Amino acid sequence: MKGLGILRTIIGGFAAYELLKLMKAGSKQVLRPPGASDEDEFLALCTRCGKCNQACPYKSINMGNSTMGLGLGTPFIDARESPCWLCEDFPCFEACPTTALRDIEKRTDVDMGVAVIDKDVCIAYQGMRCEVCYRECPLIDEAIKLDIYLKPDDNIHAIFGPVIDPEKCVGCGICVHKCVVDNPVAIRIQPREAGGLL
Amino acid sequence: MKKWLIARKLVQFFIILLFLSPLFLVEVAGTNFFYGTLSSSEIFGIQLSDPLGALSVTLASKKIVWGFLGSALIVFLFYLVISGRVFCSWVCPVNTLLELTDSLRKRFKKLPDVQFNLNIKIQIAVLVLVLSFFIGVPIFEIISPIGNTLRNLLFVWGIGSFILLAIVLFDFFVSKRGWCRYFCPVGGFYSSIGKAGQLRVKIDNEKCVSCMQCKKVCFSHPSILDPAINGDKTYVTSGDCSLCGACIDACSHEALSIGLRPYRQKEYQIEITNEVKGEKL
Repeated sequence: MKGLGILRTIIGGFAAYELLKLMKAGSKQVLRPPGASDEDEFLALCTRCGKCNQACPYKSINMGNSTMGLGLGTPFIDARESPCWLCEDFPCFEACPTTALRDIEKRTDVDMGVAVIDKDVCIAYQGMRCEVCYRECPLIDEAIKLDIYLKPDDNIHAIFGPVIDPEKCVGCGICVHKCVVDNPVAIRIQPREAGGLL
Repeated sequence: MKKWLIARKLVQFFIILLFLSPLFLVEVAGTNFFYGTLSSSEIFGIQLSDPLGALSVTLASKKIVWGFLGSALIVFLFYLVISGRVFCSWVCPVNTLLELTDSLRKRFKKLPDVQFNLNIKIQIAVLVLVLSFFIGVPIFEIISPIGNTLRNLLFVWGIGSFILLAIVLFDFFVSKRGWCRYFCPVGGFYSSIGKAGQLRVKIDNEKCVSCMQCKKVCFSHPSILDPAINGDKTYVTSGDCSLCGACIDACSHEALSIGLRPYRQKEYQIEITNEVKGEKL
């Protein structure tokens, strides 16, 4: 029975490896689909069925793999790759059976996070006219405004700097997706407050 | 003719096709008539959810979502009326995978078959619910091989594959059908309501010659057939029976059938005594 004992260790090892991988990853702060309740409640309510993923017409919703720990199988959005396009009827929210996604009637109800601009990287703040994030924002002139002023120590050029209104920004990530600056991107989404389960 | 086997394979095939259908149907127009996974799905606008998952979520979140519980109640009542573990042998994709392991196992005669208590899976199901409540996360939904199999097919390849691998190896090298028989909490949950099922494997004790062919092929556990073969019962009472029909296919004397459970157990006076019957195995 010696061989069997070794086999059992191997089998147990495979299962343990997967479980330890999950525990090590803990729970990560990620951008959740629109309407997600706060992180702890979301992790409790989400039944990991993947219906929101299948309902999303833009394939923006990804399913967490084992690097997301307890978030394995939960939906998240990689804004740079494909943001939430803020559909009028929110099919993902409609598909959710458990109210892990809830309480959205109009676009402005969404609160996925807040966009943050890195002024050191943003080319608009270096004096170039870009405005891509501003023009692409579905809540143009509400969530994002242009701060226009003369460039200091320069009487010819002006700065057209985008400014986020954290109260109005819903965190859809369209600006992140469209940002022309690469490595690093000049704008990112700070996901809404995440709890600390592990 | 192994008609139950053929019927079951067809159902298993169509179930997998149904769950995969959004991959090739949804692209055409709007929403597919069906989408979702075994955790929760929607067919023609009707929501259906896994009862154990729904209980876990309710306990984890400490919130009652009536729509969600209602969708789980439909599934729960279906299996309560038919027979709990019908899910296991006719629907569950992990069983479909493990049946392949089992058929591979048959080619190697000397593999060990470690026995465990059949009630462990019910205890694990309870443990899953208790842990979900205290941790605040529906814990089995994360590691569930059923959930992970469908996630692998539908969303991301490679999720939970080591757990699946461990289960396959365990079934192959350590215990025949071990995961399904002794450990799966979903099976445990359905097993606990299995006794109430109205469809049962019935035995005609006058035709039974105690050849024990049925016990050799039993999917759930051979011991569940004993009370019926011994003549104590006219049908299989155990909640573990998954109505796979393998025993009926195997019976060369046509003593077994699936039918509505009788209201009363018939009192048979069988001439062969139980001891003699038992010795033939």
